This record gives sequence, C-alpha cells and structure tokens, in this order.
Amino acid sequence: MTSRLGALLRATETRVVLALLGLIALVDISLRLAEPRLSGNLAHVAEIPELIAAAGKPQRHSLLLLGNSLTNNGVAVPVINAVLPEMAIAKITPDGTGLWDWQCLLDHQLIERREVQYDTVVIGFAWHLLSDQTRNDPSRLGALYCRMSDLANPSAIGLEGSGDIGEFMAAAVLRTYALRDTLRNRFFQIVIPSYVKYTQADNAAGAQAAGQPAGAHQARAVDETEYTYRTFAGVVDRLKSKGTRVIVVAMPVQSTYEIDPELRELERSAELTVIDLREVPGLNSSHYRDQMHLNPVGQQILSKMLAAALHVELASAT
Amino acid sequence: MIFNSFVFWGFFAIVLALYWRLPWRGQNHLLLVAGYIFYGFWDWRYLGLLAFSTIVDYYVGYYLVRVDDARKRKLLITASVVVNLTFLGFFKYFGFFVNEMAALLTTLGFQPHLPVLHIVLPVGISFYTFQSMAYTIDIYRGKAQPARSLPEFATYVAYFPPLVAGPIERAGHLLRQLQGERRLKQGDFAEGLYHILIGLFKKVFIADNLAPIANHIFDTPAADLTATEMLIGTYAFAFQIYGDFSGYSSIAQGVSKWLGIDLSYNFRMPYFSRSPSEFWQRWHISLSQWLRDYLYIPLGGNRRGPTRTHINLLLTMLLGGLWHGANWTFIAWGAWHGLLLIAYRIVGTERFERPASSKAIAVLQALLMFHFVCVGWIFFRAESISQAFALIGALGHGFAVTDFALYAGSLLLFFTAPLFVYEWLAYRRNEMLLALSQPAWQRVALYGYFIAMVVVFPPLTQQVFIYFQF
Repeated sequence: MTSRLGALLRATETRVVLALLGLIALVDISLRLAEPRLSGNLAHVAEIPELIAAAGKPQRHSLLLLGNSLTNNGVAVPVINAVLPEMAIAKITPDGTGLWDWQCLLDHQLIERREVQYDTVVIGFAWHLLSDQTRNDPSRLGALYCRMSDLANPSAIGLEGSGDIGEFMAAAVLRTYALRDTLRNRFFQIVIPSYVKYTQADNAAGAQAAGQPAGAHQARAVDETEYTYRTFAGVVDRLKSKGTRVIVVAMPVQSTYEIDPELRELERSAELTVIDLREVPGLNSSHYRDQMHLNPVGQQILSKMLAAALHVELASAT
Repeated sequence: MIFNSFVFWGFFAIVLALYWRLPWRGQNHLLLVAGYIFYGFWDWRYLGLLAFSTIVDYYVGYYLVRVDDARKRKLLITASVVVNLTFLGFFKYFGFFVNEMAALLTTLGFQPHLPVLHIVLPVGISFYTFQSMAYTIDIYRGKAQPARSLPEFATYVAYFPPLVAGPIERAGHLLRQLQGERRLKQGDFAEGLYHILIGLFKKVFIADNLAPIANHIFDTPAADLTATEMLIGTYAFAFQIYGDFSGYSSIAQGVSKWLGIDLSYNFRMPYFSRSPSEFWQRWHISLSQWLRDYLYIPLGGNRRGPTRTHINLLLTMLLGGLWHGANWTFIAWGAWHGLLLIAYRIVGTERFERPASSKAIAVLQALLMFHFVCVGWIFFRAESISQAFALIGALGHGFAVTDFALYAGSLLLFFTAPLFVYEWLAYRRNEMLLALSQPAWQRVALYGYFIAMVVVFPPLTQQVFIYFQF
C-alpha cells in the first residue's frame, strides 16, 4: 500500500513540484534579504536586537521605551534624555503591536538575554492593549517576535485554535506569507488609483462597525467584556525577577477610554506603576495628526510631561 | 472546516497519509470517519441529521430491490422523498413560510402569533439531501443498484470533498467508485494538483477579494450609485460567485483525485455561453442535471407541446431558485432564468447550438448572455426585490467615471483579467485541463503565479464559501 503512495509522489509532476519549491525558496530568500528596505517599520524591527543590546548594557542605567505607533509618535527620546541624562534609552515601537508581540519581544530580546539588563521598562498603551483580550496577529508573532518553541504553549502567546497556529507556522517559515500585507499595500499603492483613500475609509468603517476606534489594535468586544491581565502580570513578574521595574503609560488619544480595574489592581499588587497621561494639560485636537497619533508639537508637549513623571517615579524609587 | 484553512489541509494530510496504507475496505471506513469529522467540525449536533437521512435512504434502497409490489415500492419512494423534503423544508423554508403567512394574515386584518424558530441551517443540507434522494429515485427507476451495506452507503453520503457544496454526485458515478479498489493512474497527481491550485486561486484570490467591492456597492443606496459603479458591483459579484463556487468544486475535485476518486465537473467556463441552455450546461452542472432528470423530465419535459414545455421550464427554474434559499430574490432569479430559457426557445435555440457565422457574432452572443446572467445576479445578491429593481434603475444615472469607479474597476480588472484570459484559451481549445497539456515550464510559471497570488493577495477578511448556506 505504501508503494501506491510512493507512486503518487513519484508521478510525472515531480519536476514541476520541485521547480515550484525552488522558486518559492528563491523568492523567499530574496525577500528576507530585501526586507528592511520594504518599509520603515520592517527596518525598525530588524534593528530591535541591536538597539536593545546597545542601550541595555548591565553596567549602565538603562530604560527601554516600548510601544507601538502611539508611543512612536508621542514620545521624543531627546526630551526624556534631557531630564534623565544618566539613562541609556532604547525606543522600540514597531507598528500595530500590542501585548502578545511585546510579550515575545521582551521574553526573547530582554529577559532571556544574559548580556542585556534594563533598570526600567516603560510601556505606552491605550484602551485595553495590555489585556488578555487584545487582538493578536499570528503572522506577525510567527514571523517577527516569537519563536517556534513558543508553540509549546500556544494559548500563552495568544493563539486560539488550529487556524492561528497554522498562520503562525506559515509566517514563521515563509516570509512571503508573513509580509503579505506589506507587499499587497506597496503593490496596490502603485497600480490602483485612490487605493490608500478607499482602504482607509473601509478600515475606518469596519472598525466603527466593530465598535472600535479606527486603527486601534484592541479588544474584540468593547462593551461588557471583562478585561483580564493574567498574561501581562506574568510578563511583569518575569521582568521583576530580572531586576527590571515596569512602568506603563496610559497614552492620550482624541477619544476617551477607561483604565481597566484589573490593571489598577495589578498596580497595587505587583509593584507596577501606572502613569496616567490620558489627559495632558495643553494638549488639544490641533496636536493630533489623526484620531490618535500626535504631531511633532504634540509629541514635545507629551514627552515633557512624561519625562517629568518618569523623573519623579525613578527618583522616588532610588 | 473550509478548504482554504490550515486546519483542513492538516486534516487532509493525515487522511491522505493513512488512506494509501489501507486496503480499500479500510479506505472506505477511513473516508466515513473523515466525512463525519469534517461535517461535525461545523456543528456536531447536525451529524444526527446526516446519519438519520443516510439510514432512511439506505433502507428505502434496500427494500426497493426486494419488494415487487408496485404500490409498496411507490410507498417506499414516497417515504424517502417526504423524509428528505421534510428535513429540507423544516430547516430551510419554515421561517420563510411562517413570515409570509404572518404578513398575509396581518394584511387580512388578523393578529397572528405564529411560532418562530431560530434554527441554524445545517451546512450543505441541500447538497447531501439531493444526492441521497437521487439514490433512492434511481433505484426505484432501476437505473442504479443499492449499496451493499449501510457503511458503504454512509460513506457515499458523507464522502467529504463534495459533502457541503457539491457536486451532487449520483450513485452510478460515486458509489460505484467506492465499491471498487482505487488506483492512482499516471497523471492523477498532476490533475489533482492543478484542480487544487486553480481552485484556491479562484476562491482566495478572486472571490474573496471581490467580495468587499460587491458588498460595498450592494450596500450603497441605489440612488447614490452611478451606472458605472452599479455595473462594476454586478460584475464583481458575477466573478465573486463564480470564483467562490467553481473554486470550491475544483478543490473538491483535486482533493478527491488524490484519493483516487473522480468527481464530476460542476463548471465548464459558463460565462462564455451563448445561450441560457448552454449556460445551464456549464453552470452548476450537477444541479442542472438533477433538476432536469428528477423534475423537468417527470413534468413532461418538451414532449407535450410548446406551452407545456414553457410551463415546465419556468416551474423547474423557479424551484431551482427556491433550492438556493427561502427568499423572494432567489425565486425571482429562478423566474428570470426560466423566462430567458423560454425567450431563447421562442427565438430558436438551434441557432445558438451550431457554431456562429463569425467570431464577432459569437462574441456578441456571449456578451449578451453574460449580461443577461448578470441581471439574474442582481436579484440573487440583492436583499429584496425592490432593491434589485432600484439597482437596475441605477443604470439610468449616467456612466460617470468617479474616483470610486476607477478604484473598484482597477481592482476588478486586476483580480479577474488573468483568469478570464486563461479560461478563454481553454474554452477556445475546448480543454478543461489546458495547463496539463502545456510544457512543464509553462505549468511552473502558471502555478507559481497562482501560489504567489494566493499567498500575497489573500482577502483582508476570510470569507466562507457562499454555497455552504445552500
């Protein structure tokens, strides 16, 4: 019977299948080589290990500023450095990321690396980005932030069911698959008229229909969901055992949002600090470039506020 | 478990690896278990329905060949038809008839309190019910032999590749293959690979990417649409439903081919048809043949004069429309196709059956037919009859090329043009497996293109197969 399966595999199409596999491998290798040139975000992701290692030398005081585009647009490192000159600061803010990406990133790039030591990790968030209910992206996790070994416990990295696991594995193996959104957008921006305009409109409509602010990577259901923080509490514990203090910053956006009670509870029980910057004096709608991202003027205002708050927090700790 | 999911391919890899290590009886048992796992993945509660329908039809078939009394045989076949149609009617049409009855009674001044059941339609019920029903009717007519055992028949009904969206396979074709040893012939792997790749390409690249365009236009009030936008929305839906359904059928064919079992072709490049009768020989072929053999011909077909033929055509197409679901839009879609068949018959079908006098005439006839089909799709896709007419009315809004029309039209062209060209070549050469007759390097290029498009251009949100709901 096995020979019949062999016959299937040895059939006339072997040459075609081998050629296809070769072609796929060739495209994939080329893509890996060209990846940092595909987008600014991918270039940033590629430099993360180096940035973390450079600032996180054990003999220095160091601060890791982690977040997504909210933090990227909202915080200027020179402003923080002006207030905390003794600190080596690494700013890691890959687009579209949230709890699940940050967990893998912190585990593999900071906690597991002996040569890296940070005094403080500051994480910028909004809405429920640090909760267990935050939406994940299995492709992004598989390709950019997690490792195959993380699949030993899929739910611990936010994967739900075989579909997520399949997507994670495919993205880990095949760069073309992992970067499909980037490739698709780059291609359509060139060949399809008004692609950006209508895609953004569709995304906004979709997000509005789902009851979420456009572009916000946040929870699946806004109302009636009980947001839990078990995964984040685990990350805080692991960072604490490495001697790293965790501060989370509730970032300002144009709409209002609440800080979840369980995060407040975590603040009390796990020596986690929450800096609440949802409302910043002097910040108004003219300081935003869209519904949530600050413009350079807004960035200066927020950064000064954050620097002052960090100065107080870090001084009180010492 | 849908074909364009990782879980299906994991499941199929396990089935395939076990399958070719087993003797054929073992293969059948494996297929039976696999079919129930595949179906139960949607909702295990409906496995009982599948099993019950299987048991009833198996025993009807069993006794039909053992009973000589014509009256008892008639009773048996009636029982099979009634049980199958009751299931179908209950799950698919109960809500529709209750709502319509309530509306009628309200119009008459009553205040009806009719029972409302919120039932989820078992996926693919219309497909396996029709397949199972065809089995007993064929045995009754002496055109098929019954299965030799209940597990054998259960394997035939629950055979997973065509289980939820067809093709509707007759016992004479599928059951006969399950009764014998399967062998992989030279070229079977290649054919299966071709069907799977082109099927995924049609479903993931074409249908799922056109869905947002069609949805956007059909969700916009007709008064806000220009004629150009309305046409783009209609074309997008025409290719969406074709890519979706023919893509599913193609993947089912490919998967089945790797299991050593041939499935029928359900689509043969239907949009190049020059007449409605040609269209129905090329679109959802297994349903067309089912309706022809078990409805149109028993009604008298074309044997009782033109008027009766026209009535039979209309009735058959109306029921064909109703088969798709309990909605007036489907009934209108069926009626439209019935009227088209009648109109072409009056004009003279024979002129479309022989080759056209010139290529230009053939192209014009195909273009006209395609647009007639598109009118039907407007009814099929619209939420209501009034919306369908409003959309058709948008044709009077002028053919302005708006920014949106340019955007949606460019996407439509990008997603459909390559398949259109490929199928045009296949149609002209009358080769369903055109790629397989080409040199290997051309297949590598074509398959490489299919794979690249499926990998790089998957839809932003995964869409289920449209025909599962039927």
